[in-house]
Amino acid sequence: MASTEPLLRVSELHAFYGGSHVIQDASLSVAPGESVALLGRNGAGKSTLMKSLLDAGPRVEGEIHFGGQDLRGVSPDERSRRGLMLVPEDRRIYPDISVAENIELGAQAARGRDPVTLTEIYDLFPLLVPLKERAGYQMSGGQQQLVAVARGLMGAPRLLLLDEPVEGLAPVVVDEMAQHIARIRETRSLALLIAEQNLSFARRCTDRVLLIDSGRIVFDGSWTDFDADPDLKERYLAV
Amino acid sequence: MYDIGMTVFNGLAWAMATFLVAAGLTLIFGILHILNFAHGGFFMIGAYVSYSIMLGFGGGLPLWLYLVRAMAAGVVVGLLGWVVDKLVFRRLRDVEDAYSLIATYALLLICGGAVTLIWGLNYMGVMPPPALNSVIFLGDMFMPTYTIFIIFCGVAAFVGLELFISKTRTGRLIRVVAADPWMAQLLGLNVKRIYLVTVIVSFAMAGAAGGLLMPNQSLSPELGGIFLLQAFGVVILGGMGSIRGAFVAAIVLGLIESFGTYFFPQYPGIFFLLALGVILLLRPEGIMGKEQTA
Repeated sequence: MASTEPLLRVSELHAFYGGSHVIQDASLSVAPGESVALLGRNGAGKSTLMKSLLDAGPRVEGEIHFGGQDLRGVSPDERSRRGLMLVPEDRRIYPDISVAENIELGAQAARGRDPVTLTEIYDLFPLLVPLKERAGYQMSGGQQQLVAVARGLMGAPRLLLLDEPVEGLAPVVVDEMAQHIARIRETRSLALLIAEQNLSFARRCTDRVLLIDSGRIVFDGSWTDFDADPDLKERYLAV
Repeated sequence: MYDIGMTVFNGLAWAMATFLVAAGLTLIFGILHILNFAHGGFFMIGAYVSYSIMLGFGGGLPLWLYLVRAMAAGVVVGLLGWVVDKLVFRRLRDVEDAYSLIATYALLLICGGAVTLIWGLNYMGVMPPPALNSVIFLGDMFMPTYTIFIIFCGVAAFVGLELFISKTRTGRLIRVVAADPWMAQLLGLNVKRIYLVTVIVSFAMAGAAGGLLMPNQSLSPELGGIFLLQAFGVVILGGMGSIRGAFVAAIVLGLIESFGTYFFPQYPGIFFLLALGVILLLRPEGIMGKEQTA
């Protein structure tokens, strides 16, 4: 990993909402094809960090390189078209159009890259097949989350950012989501950054751990290293 | 029978003339959430531009040239929309509504000033084109062909705009951006460009409406305000931003105004305001207030 240029390289990132300094001096990187967990309590800055990467909300200072290019001055929609795709925590499914139309919207971002076909999407998410014609507002939380991930994937991302993809979902649905993510990683070459509070889910889906607390990255290492220091879990994740 | 028929006819004429102006107004509000006070100003510019084109042809145009001329006014005003979006609207997206009101009101004043500078303060009368300058008798009702033509144009504008928004790819993207611009940008949609397209379409509709409705009015720099009040009434009653709502509201208010004026001919122009007030007291969100831009 050290020898290759990371897909995403963030250095000395600061993010602000109004006067509050939410992300403080965060540096991190994600290699091509790698899957990384971003762990932290509610309010630790996970969502803000993800939105900062897309310049979609907070005021951001610092450097973000994606695919070797500096993203300074690059608009959020252009970032998305370059393959940096965020599936936000609140899912944001369009309620008045169908599931299929929601998913197809994602293809807007895929221009110029190896596109994902709808067949591929429905192969990955067979649960969505019977829901295709349903309107966005007619779905459960778990179904909405699947649609949101499928829509993100439709944009052929090089790095898919999932913000708490299993928050509020029933255990059996969480398990399905983990299986979906495993299959996505087998079939598409993409990197993942997953913000989570659900440790077992995060462990199943990722290779590495970033721990964030009060806007600072406090740990960056393998799951083995993370487990070797039980104090980390106690200090930064226990409620 | 004669009276009811004529009163309905006059109501529909009022309704469709107003809808032609209101359509672009509600479109911009529905998508950009900007209340464009300058809309009437650009309507007026459309009327003056098409007046100038008509003078260029020496007046008395055949019907098709009359239509082309109105469309040309639409294109000119649409281009002005492009400029206005780049210079003004783009800066209004993340500021409070008060700034939008001031900015678009200032634009309205600029439109009035520009018209005075270019075309002067004189009133100019315009006749309908010869092909539309006759009357059709239906029983003992007499219907000016020009008025029938305006009613037809209003319906055509409504159907066209509905089809554009619901059936075309651009229209679907416009609806998506209107519903949630933040998510739309994350999906790679160029939100700025979609706003720009919306503004151009809205302005082009104002310009074309100016060209079509010009013979109803004598041209003067006050023209900007004349339809604006009616159009605002229709947009508000329709449920801010709803095209279908504006269409229905135009017909409702047009009929009320027309019947009101029939029974109380000494008070023209009052009944639409009264009806607007009463209906909004009963239903503050408007006829289709929930449903934005559909």
